[in-house]
Amino acid sequence: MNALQQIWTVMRKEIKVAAEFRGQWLNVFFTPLAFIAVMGMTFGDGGAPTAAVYLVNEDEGRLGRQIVSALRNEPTLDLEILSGRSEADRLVGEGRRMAAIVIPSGLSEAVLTEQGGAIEVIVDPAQEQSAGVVLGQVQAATAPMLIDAEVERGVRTAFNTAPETFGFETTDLKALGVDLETVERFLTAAIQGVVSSQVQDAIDDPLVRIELKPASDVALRQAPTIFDYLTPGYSVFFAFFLMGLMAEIIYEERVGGALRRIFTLPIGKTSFLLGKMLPYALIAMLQIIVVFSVSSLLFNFDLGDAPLAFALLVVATGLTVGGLSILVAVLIRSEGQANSIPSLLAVVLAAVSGALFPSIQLPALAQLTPHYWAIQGFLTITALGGGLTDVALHLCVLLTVAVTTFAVAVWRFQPT
Amino acid sequence: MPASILEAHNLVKKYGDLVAVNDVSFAIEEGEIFGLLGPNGAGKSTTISMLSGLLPPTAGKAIIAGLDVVRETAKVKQIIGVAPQELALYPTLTGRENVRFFGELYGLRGKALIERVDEVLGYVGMLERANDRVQTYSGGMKRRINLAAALVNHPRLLFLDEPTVGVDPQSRNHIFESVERLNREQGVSILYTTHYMEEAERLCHRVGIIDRGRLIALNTPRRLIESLGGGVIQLGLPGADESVRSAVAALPAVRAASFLAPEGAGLPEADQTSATGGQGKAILKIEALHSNEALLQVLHYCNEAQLQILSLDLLEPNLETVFLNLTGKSLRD
Repeated sequence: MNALQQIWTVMRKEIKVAAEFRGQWLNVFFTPLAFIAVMGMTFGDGGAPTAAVYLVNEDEGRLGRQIVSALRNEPTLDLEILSGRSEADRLVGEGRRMAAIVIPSGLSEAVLTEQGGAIEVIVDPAQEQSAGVVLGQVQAATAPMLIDAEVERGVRTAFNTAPETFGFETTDLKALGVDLETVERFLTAAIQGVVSSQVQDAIDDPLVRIELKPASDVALRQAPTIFDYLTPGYSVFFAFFLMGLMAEIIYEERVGGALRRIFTLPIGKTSFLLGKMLPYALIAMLQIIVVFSVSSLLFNFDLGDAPLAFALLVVATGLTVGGLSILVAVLIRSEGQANSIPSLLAVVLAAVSGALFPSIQLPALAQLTPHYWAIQGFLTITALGGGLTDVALHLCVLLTVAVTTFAVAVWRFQPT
Repeated sequence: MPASILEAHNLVKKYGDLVAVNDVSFAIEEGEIFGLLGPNGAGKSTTISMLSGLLPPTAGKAIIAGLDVVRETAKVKQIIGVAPQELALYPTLTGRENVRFFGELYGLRGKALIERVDEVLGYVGMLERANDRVQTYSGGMKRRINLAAALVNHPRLLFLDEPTVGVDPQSRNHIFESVERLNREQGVSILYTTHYMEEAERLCHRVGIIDRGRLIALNTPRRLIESLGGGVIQLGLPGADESVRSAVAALPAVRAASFLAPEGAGLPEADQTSATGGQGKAILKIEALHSNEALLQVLHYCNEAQLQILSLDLLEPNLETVFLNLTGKSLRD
């Protein structure tokens, strides 16, 4: 008897039986799209995960306006301008937004004094850790302006102390017809121009560069959008809900005696379980393709330029869904387990992997989940413009998980 | 001597300390319908599981058509058909799809598969409803599809495990007729397990009686019934008096007499009292050489000895009585 024919026979039967569970199909195919749409609207569709903060500008000087302008151009900040710090303090305290940036009154003048000035960040205590990210973003956005102010203050101080330093009197200079105010303005502008130019050069082309690169030297093709995170995250998350469907069907076959009957026929465990597993792997692959395609059409989500790498990642992810699902299904021994464990596992793995919420920082534990490797692989292709070599590690990890889980399932499977 | 299609040699199956099948040996001749009769939990299904290659025996071995069931499982599975006790079907598929699925797993393809599926569906009288989903069938119709699925590979040896459980009389008769025709017209050997003695008496050429994992009797139904002699009388007495038993056993029309273990034997004393109704009633089982004469002699003895008779049962000689005689309990216990 040809094992391939037996596998094909079991696959066709499995698809027919599984087709009756229409609610599950809705869950697997439609729900991720609904979540992506809702989460996309919640987070905004303009870019990468953003920090939602308030901005209060009490400074009437030039520096205050420059900082507001710079912060507005910062893509990772979602700003809402408020008129007063008391309102900002109250709203942050209520947890509406994680922080409020307050540019205090007189900052423009204060930065020219020896005492300097300070930009304040009011933080929601419940989100203090995340608000640290805001602080970094404010510092990055305001750095050029603060350097300008620092230069201006330095030149003024140097000019005012120059007569004493060089041993001449200002009255002598005035007697010689030197307009000190004009000289000061000229020197300030000249030095500021030179320093600012150098600073800008240093920023644009630093002698020591700090480059942010993905592990495999992938160039960022564009700023990742929220859908670069949501589409693979929710697609993979809901694909793993197939575990529950497979567990339910195998449990019914076990209690109904179909498994016992099948193994009185000349079919091996490997052929049978392959026939059971492959339809779910194919369904998972189909789900990923559908969700990514619809997301691309509806949310302008870029699928990247590496169709082969993308296809292989879809296949590897599908096989991993199938492998893990069949392992869970053969270990299930009661109806209660069939109803609870697969769903619980799907949610916990997704939460740990970062599939549920776009996150700036993922725990190391995430790398233990197949979800992480699938999602990061898709991100590498869609957001970072990566190719086959860039996702080779992701493919290897996923295929290893698929093969290992299937092998353990064959080993542990008891038809009686 | 006819060739054996199946030989079971000292089969044992243990689950930890539980011995489900204990040293069971028997043979089935080619073309024979062999019945395994016993109550639920006696070890019938476990025996079939071992013989069909589903469970490895803890000890002993089984040979089917000259093939060792453990070492040549794949070959054995090609020549046997199994209709398990459970309705091992997919309820959302049609009857035809179910039978076809099992046929394909046996390697049938194309025209041969289509013809064979129609043939077995016709055999069990389910052609008209074959394209309906199994979940719309009655219990009896499901059993018939269950049987059809077991026939799809032209088996030489068919295992039917309690094939009439939960079946309406019409379907039961249909199954009986199918089994008889299979055996008569196609020479299929059949191992038929049941706890209905009527089925075993009607269908089986030979019957093995199994209880608590042990095969306790094996013969043709007629011989087993004849072993009872003239029938069995059960006499309810106020107590188990050994002198009464020996006096009854000595009566000319009586072959043997013994007290049955009370229901709940082996339980704590309080529970035994409860099992016998709290009256201390003892049942004297009397095997008669001639039931009418034995009955008269026993009644006469009780009258003479001024023994109070609490109950009196004259049991019809059949396999149920054989089982009762061997085990002291009913098949449906």
